[in-house]
Amino acid sequence: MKNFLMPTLGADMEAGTLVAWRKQPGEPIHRGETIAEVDTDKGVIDVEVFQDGVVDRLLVGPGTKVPVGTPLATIREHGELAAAEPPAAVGAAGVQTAAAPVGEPATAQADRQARMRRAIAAAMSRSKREIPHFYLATTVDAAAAVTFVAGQNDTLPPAERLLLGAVFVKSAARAVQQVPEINGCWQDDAVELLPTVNIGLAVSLRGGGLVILTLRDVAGQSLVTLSQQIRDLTARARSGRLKASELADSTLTVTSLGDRGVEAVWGVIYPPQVAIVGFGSVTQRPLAVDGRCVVQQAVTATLAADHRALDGHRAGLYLQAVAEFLQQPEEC
Amino acid sequence: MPGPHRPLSAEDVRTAVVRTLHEIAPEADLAEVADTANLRRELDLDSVDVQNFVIGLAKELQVDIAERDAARLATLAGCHDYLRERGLTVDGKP
Repeated sequence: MKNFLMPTLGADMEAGTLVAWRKQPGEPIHRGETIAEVDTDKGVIDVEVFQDGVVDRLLVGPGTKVPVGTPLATIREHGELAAAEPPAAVGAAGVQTAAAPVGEPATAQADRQARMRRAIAAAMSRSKREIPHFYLATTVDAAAAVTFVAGQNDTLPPAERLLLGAVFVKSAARAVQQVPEINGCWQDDAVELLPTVNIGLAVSLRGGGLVILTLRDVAGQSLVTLSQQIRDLTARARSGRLKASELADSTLTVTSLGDRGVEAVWGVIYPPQVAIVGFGSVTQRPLAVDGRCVVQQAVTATLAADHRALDGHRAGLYLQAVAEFLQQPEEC
Repeated sequence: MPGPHRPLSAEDVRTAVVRTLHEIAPEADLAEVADTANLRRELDLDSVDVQNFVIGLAKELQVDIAERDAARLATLAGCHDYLRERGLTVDGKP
């Protein structure tokens, strides 16, 4: 028998409200299937399970707000006997009952905005209070990346076209192999290296606020797949529904304010990560190429890193590696 | 990609554009958007939104839209002109 817990969708989430169950006791459930809808500061999300089994008991009723990590249901393995105890009373002691959001009236939306603002404020204040940030920047020749993306998109059907942002994200992920501690998490006064690079992509929401979307195992994905994922997740973050797994477990964040026309962005690290990579807008700039000054497409790549976890030299090597991948998009 | 079943009227184009944009910016009042208003600026769309717009419109109208033509879809009037030039719409301004 396994407990199904209120998931955490990042360091800034403390609690969530169960909106509805999608499965009932006795129903079989498969890995990746949605078991419940949960209301969070990031909107209502679908929560999936990570093992096959049979829903045994539901421990929390709709409208109940519980802290992250609270058991919400029990799931038994196929063949395992059902629990002997009767189902727990809904709204058990120690949990706070809130009204379930029905539809989304204007006040609920304003309330969510306010909660999201508070969650961002808490996470970013904690980051700036606890993490000694240092910053590096480099200007990268982006002509190859721009030409590569345009060339590919000339022949690809709309739904398979590439985003320049996918090249940024993949360059940031591939470069980790050269400086693995960039993809770490700071815990108990040490950096713990994480085996897979899950890029968290900072995406602004319409009307304010932002979410960090999770692109899993980026180094192993094609630019076509990555572009599709970025389009799909961004669209659903802005006007639809996300799954819990699409907001959890990112290991290194990328922020790209390119479209806003700014030259560079200096990020604030998303704890417990140890770095955030920033990309400004791609613009025509004078660059020295082969001893001559030419006007060329360029982008400023930046890195904000946690000085507890790594030093300037290693961080510099990482940013240089990002720049190199960015200039060989066909290798990316 | 198969072509549209019949020539599109100005109204068909506007309906398809509005429906596609509504998916991307559900809170926007698209009835208030002027034919010549820059959609990207007016609705605060970024490059991901723009690609989703092109994909959505191509699907909605069952036409292929080249990436390099995306800039021509900057306004409602631009969408109509572009589709007319491709021989997909009946004449008339939106």
